[in-house]
Amino acid sequence: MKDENEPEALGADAAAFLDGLRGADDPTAADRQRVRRKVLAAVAATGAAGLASSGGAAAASATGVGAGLATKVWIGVAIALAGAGVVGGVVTTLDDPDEPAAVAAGRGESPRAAAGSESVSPRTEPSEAVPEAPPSDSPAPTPAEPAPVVEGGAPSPANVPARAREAAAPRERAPSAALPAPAEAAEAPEAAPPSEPEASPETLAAELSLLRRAHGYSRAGDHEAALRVLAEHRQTFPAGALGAEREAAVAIALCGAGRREEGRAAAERFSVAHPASPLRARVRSACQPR
Amino acid sequence: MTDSPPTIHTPGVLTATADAPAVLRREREEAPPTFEEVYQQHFDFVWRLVRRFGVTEAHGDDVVQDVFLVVHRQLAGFEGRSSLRTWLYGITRRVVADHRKKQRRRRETDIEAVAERSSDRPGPEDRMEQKQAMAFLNRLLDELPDEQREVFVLAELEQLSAPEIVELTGTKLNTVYSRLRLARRSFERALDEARGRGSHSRGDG
Repeated sequence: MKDENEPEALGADAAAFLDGLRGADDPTAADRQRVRRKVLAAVAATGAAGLASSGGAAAASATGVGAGLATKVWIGVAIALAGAGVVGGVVTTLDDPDEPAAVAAGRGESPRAAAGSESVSPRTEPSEAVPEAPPSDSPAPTPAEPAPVVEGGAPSPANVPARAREAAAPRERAPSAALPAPAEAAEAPEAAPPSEPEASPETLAAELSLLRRAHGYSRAGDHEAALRVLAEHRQTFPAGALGAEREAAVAIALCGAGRREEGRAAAERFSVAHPASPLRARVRSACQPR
Repeated sequence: MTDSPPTIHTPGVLTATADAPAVLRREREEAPPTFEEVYQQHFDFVWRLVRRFGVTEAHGDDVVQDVFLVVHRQLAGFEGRSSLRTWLYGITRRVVADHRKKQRRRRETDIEAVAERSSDRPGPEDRMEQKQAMAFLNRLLDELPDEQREVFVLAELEQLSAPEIVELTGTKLNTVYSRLRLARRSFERALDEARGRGSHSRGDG
């Protein structure tokens, strides 16, 4: 493609300089995994959102310092996805054809079921990295402003467990505090295998579709049915990537079903197991008389 | 169950007999690539662009994530009128521009400053040098006007041809050329100056 207008090439010196740098900022395998997880988690958050659906968005800011805004933005995006009815469809594109269960469940799901207006935080907490920009061509719907936080919203150092404080501290880049195995994979050198169990997209989609089903039942007020689906999730994915969301959903559904004692116990277990989870405040308030 | 197995309709494929090879029709008509395919094939491209278009490391993850959330949402509606890469490029560019605009507005806030500084802290040894080198490069790129920076990055770092750049950016060929010409000169000058000013004390800028 020689063209007379073509500008002169870069000088040898500058070209050599760039040659040395080209590829220096290629992502590592860990980068790819980490961001993929974040994207899917942002989508997945929608499924769990409905489970936490009895009102209010207290959980939104429960991640504490610095994460509030980020969380809100992600909720907006996640809800936009759900609102557009795209979540089910797109997520199932991740399905392996060999996983008929996931596909069927995903397709059988009405998009409406995920379109809850309630919010929930994504599992992956964006820490110091506050996303300034919701995608410019997204409608960027801001969910209802988070209700005054009941608890855990702006934790003061005094009443937050040390582990939670640590997880919220801005120096960690991608804390996976809410993940079942809170091992830090984000900054791991490329060679080191991630110590966190990697959910394959297929598995994640299957997990997600179960949670979304449960969410659908919950929204319809059939908490017992939701609990059955959640039990199925627990049985199928005992160490699933969405285990925290499931347990949160269980506690909320128990309370919704009027099984308050069990619900409160489940909420307590959840709080202990996931002290830094953004869902914590939501879960704990679910069983409190309003 | 009763009698015959359920019939599965795959319209795009079944009708593709007479006029076009099935594969072609499939490519044209059928579902766009899956999110997973797009992610696998284009993640690196998006990742690099985000950094090179001036997003700091502290925000890199989030901006890339934003890009792929848009992809996730809009992929089903991708009609193939442009190449997938062009489509993706457009998304990346918008998300980055949006991010930078907001970033400029809140640049003074303390949290930002802290976040950015903390991201400059050396990580594991082997990545530290790379980080410094990239930070240096980004400082040089920062000196270019955005439209020159774009063309320069695509040509010199992504090593795309001018026609490819035309396709991605929708800019006229002659404009691409003139921007590239200006950008190259500015870049060389900036590099010379930066080195002349003492390359031994890079780091705290």
